Amino acid sequence: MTINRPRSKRFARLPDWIDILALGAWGILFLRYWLTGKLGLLIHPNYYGLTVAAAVVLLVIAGVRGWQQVRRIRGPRLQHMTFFTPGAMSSVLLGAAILGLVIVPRPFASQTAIQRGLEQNIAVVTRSRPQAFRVNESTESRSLIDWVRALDAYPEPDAYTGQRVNVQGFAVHSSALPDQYLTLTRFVITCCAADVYPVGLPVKLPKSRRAYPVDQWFTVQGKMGTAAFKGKRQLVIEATKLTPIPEPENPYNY
Amino acid sequence: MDLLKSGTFLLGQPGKPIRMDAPEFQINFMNRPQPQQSMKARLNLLLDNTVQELRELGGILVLGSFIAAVIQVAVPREIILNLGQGPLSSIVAMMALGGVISICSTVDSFFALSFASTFTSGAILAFLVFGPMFDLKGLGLLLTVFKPRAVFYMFALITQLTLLFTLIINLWIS
Repeated sequence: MTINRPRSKRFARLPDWIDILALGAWGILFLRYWLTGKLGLLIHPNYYGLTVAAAVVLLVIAGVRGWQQVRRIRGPRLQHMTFFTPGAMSSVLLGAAILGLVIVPRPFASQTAIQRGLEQNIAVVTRSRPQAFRVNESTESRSLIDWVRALDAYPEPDAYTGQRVNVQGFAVHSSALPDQYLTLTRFVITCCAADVYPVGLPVKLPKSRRAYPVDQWFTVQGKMGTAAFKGKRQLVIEATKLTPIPEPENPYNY
Repeated sequence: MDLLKSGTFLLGQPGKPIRMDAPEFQINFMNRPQPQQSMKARLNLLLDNTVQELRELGGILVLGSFIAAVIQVAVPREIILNLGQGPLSSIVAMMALGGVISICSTVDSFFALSFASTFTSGAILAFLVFGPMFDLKGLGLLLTVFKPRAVFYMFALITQLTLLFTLIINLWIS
């Protein structure tokens, strides 16, 4: 026991410091996501305020705790039984925060789109509730989501034939479509990255889709038409012009 | 009840809390008058408690999210969704999906609505009821309070009852 004493004394305050580092790192992580504009990749803008407030609270707690440690103020401490040791839990938190600081979040891409059922025909549901559909509104101002939503409300593809299209999205090469088609896709987010799901429309290309790489963002101009895939008629964009564009600042739609 | 972690713990000791199994001792100990604490000391306790809760719940939440993420990456959703469209198999599929993706209850209705056209209404209901209760992220939190056996009973009961009642809905009501 006498041999161990200096060693245990030296490390006695280590768990407290890991606590402080973990809380501070999470605060910094939230603020960094917000400042670098990456927060939008992880959560709906409705929750930005909450995230920033949480970051400030975490940083204040870490600051007060750190000050107490430096000044060696040690009040009464609570104790209770835990599943894991406090040091292990703090280390998990700290490790996760460091991983978050090291790994830069990237938006979901075609692989997730296919995994999350782009090829199945599922309805578009988001928190936004459009109050009116204007028929004579210019069809070129509709986004990809607006088109899919309109199609959801009135699914007859022939009703849209000839309407002019100007939409943005990224390319997915669906195995269900022939070589001359790609699926122009965007993700819709309702709350957080766990619930994003893809929506997309097939685009008829002037040549083979191998000229249009997967995950590249395009502005597609053209007009609507109908094509039959596996005996099922479907709305397709007959592209006249595909312009590669850089990935937008916020790639999701709401 | 043998399902809660039982026992008496003497806190406030240097080092670890001491476990005691004599309830009489606890009664005597608890009846001692507590000295009135200053505002500063109470704020300090508040801070201490906050840090403790953040550390424990946060750490377990991180571990739970890790498990949920691994399953989501390892098991594609299509496998689950292709389990079937029958009265029973659709419920099983949606329950599996609800257990695996573990999204929060505030948005799972939006999520479920996107499957409304392809799945039976009993299956959608099973997803809505089962998903938030069978939460992989919360598993660790439950294990801090309950014995594994209790957690197992709870999850088994949730699964069975959800399956049974939504099957009744599928077969006789909708």
